[in-house]
Amino acid sequence: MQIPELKTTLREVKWELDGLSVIQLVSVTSIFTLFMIIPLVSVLYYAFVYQGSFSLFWIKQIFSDAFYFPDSLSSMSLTFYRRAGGNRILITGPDLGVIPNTIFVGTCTTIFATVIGVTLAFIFSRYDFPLKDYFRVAIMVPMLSIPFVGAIGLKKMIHADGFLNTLFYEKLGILPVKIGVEGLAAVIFVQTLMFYPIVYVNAFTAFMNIDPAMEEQAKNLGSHGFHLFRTVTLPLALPGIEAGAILTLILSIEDLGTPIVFQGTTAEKTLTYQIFTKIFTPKGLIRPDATALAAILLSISIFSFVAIRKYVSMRKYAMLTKGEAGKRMISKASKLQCVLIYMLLTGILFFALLPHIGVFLLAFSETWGTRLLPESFTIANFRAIFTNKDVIRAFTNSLSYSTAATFLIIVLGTSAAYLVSRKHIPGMSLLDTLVTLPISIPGVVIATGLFLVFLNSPLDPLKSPIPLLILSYTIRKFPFTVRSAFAGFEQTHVEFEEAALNLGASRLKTFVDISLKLVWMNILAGGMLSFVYCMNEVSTGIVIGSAKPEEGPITLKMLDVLYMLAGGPHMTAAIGVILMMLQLASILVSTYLLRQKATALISI
Amino acid sequence: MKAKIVVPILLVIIAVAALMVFRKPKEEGIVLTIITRHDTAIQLIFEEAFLQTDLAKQYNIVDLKFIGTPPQYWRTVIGRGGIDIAWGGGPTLFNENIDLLQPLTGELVMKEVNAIPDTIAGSSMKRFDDQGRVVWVASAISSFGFIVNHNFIDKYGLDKPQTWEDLASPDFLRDFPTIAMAKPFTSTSHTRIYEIILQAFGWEDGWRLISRMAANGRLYGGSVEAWSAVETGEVGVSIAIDFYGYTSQVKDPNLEYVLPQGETIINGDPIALVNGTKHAEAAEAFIAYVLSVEGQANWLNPRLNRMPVRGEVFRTEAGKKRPDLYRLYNLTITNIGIEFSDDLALSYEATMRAYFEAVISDLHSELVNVWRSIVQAYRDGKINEEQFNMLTDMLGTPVSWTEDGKTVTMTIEYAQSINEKIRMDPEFQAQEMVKWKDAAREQYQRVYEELQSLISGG
Repeated sequence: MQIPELKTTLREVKWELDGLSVIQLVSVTSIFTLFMIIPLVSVLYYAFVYQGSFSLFWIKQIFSDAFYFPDSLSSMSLTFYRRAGGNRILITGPDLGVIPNTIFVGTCTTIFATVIGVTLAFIFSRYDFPLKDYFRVAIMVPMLSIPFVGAIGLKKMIHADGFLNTLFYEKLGILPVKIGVEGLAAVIFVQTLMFYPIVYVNAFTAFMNIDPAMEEQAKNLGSHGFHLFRTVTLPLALPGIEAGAILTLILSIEDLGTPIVFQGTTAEKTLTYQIFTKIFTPKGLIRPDATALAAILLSISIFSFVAIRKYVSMRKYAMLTKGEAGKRMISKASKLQCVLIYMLLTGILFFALLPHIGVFLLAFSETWGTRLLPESFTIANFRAIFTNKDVIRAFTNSLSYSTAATFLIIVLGTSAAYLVSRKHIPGMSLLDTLVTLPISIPGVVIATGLFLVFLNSPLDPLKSPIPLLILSYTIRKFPFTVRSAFAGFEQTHVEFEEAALNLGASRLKTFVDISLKLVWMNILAGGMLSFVYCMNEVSTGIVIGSAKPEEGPITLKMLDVLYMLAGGPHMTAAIGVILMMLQLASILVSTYLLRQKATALISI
Repeated sequence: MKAKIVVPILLVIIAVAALMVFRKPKEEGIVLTIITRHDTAIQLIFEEAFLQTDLAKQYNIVDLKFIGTPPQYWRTVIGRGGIDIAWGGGPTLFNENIDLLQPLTGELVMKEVNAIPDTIAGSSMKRFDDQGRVVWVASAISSFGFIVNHNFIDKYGLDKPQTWEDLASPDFLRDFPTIAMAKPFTSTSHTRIYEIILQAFGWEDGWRLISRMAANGRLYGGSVEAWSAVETGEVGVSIAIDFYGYTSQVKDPNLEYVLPQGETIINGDPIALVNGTKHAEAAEAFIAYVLSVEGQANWLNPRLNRMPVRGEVFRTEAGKKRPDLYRLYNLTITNIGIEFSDDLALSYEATMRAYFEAVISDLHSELVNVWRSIVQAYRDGKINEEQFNMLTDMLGTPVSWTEDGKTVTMTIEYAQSINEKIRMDPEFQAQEMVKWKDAAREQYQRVYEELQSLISGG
């Protein structure tokens, strides 16, 4: 860089960075450096060291192993289903080798989840129909993936002699064969239903934030129906949709829970499952081949994130007004539209809620053989857990940690989103990548790194895991709030803030009174997602929490109870139901607030 | 604006306050800290029973604190101090950490220890140090076999298996997996089972058998997942440690635990005093309780279904209520097990686990394909029995590869020679596994080609 250019850049930086921004920038980067970058590097280190010196040996090794990356067409399997024993069809999906499998699953899940999420968001933001409020809550429920028992519940429902097949094939005779789903197909199916709420939440907010004047003007000019949607509504909502899609893609690539459910099939041949099972030797030493996989996983996530963001950044449109300058354009759905809407909603919900139905059935029974339903129902499991002091403590632990983490996330996440969206200085897209990175790092890698780095330090997990747990939750669930807040800032024109600054308001006052007020809906949506996911968090909770179990989160307790030999799954399911209720409550609160906001928003 | 800042702060304050409220108050009296791999149910039942005894009151023990730690962290956690007792986790774990344990010396505990035999059915129930003092003693025993789901095998026309060979036979091959097995890296109990097979049948034939079992079945990440699979009817059989089987039987008469007669062993699950404990006397009192007839009766609780190490317990009130377990107990101790050497198993354990992942687990699809082709050809009469045996032997035989121009084979001696390095050096392990995986891929391919040429040519 030439000296004059350097001077210009420095001057720009000095102009952009006021006191507030500097504080924001420093807090965010230091937290991330200490609690994400350093632990991450301490683990990934092993992937790049061979016989004592830096080397790409392990990475090359992975790519030359047909198990991970196919060397020819013959090492891949492209059959999507197969027959198993006369009256059974198993939908499996392909097997292309671990790395292509992961990308394949991520792509399919993102596409399907985005289609579902955007469709639902559009329906809910533009149409009124009976029972809308109940459905509004119901479609969010699939997001509440219940650790461990969700898997058991789902399997009980879908496996060859499980609920669905027994009902539709044996009892009702609707299906000519039993249908089983396993392998990559199962992962895509489950993930789509698990993640579409993320796209929905962000797309809904985006649709609600569109100035109706835009659509009105377009209609006046003759556009309507699908054309209107495609040329006006969709592009204006793109930042929100993009936020949801990126999160879905990265979460899908990083998802460990679903492959674990379908282990024993090709679902295992995905990057996170391989890393999870192979990262430690039985003695507890770190395997370089597994860390190489982690490095590859991270690269894929970063690449996808950057690519999508680049694509969308070329097509973003900020609006001069927000929400409604006039009346919200919600139309009452016609009878036909109602019928279609109900069909769509029940179809989606039926499949998405299978794990939850399974969990409920498990929670309210003590044994469940291979029949259609449990033999008898009881509330004994709930009585047992409410009188168990360890379980109660674990719940309060999780609530405290999640709340503390969400507070940190909201403060720092909004700051980060603001910096990335508003400050045009070098390094901001790097910051953006940095704060979105956590969701693409497998939990087990962060947990291991945190453990290694902070053992024997003031934050030693063996002395008390609480600080590390709160910090790891903060880091890991950061991106939800950041992306939502970012979408909000992107949808809001910077002229609002410029107007305030012109009128003499300080940066801080502008930030708090103008910027935050305009995007608080987005922040709330993202913050709620972050809180819910904190409560659900498994990987770091069980690794760091196990250092001192009485200070561990509820997910650690669930694992403990699950392995209890008698009635373990049933008691764990009862805990799962309570967990679900708590999270549902937080969703209800923010859904309610969002709805209020939509009609009460004041715009300039 | 103010509300938005105040509310989150309030929430945080409430959260912190809640944390403090629920912190346990300091208690008067001794709290014993026990590091364990036993599950919650065992902890709850023993804790409740023990704290009510006169013994507990006599030694002023007011609470038991259990720390469930994965095996690889035992050394770290014990090293930090504060642990009094180690309980449950299998002899391998205790032997690996033998230097962290302290011999039992008190009169009270030794009275119980001496009432327990040194061996049962050929397996050690105690471990002695150089001076002949007891360092650990078994508080429960287990055997290894498999669980059968009768609905499944009836539905698909499978005979009830009685031996490990039955599980490896072509009769157990269907279009879908029929057996559940766990990968040894992530299951210590299934590791034990593979070691039993390797010692019962010999190294080479043992691997051939394990390969065929795996090819008939499906590999899971842990013993509980494999167990769950047979309980739900996902598969027809799961290899398992005995108490999984007993628990299943109690829950569901459709499930049956089968002990392969003459082909299994008994394991003693240890309890021991930890080096540096500050409550040696109280800790020994607890250990004495666990080993006493009164304490042993807890194993017979219908939620636990474990085999006690002291047979006398079946003559008590509690014991008489469990004739089913008594029958199984007799079956277990009279089962003439194989000659099993713990030291031999340990001598190649690390290599065995890594080899399994490289050759059987990662290449599972390839293995299944070739096995299926061979069995199909045999069923169709395209190859005869002799050819069938030849091909299947070739399939599961320990692999060979070239290194520096020489041929190296995974013999038992080779496995032992590299075992320590595999255990301590993950880089070395990763490199070796690459060689084995490539060699196995080639081997499976060669078998397949051999099969094709026999079909067309022969």
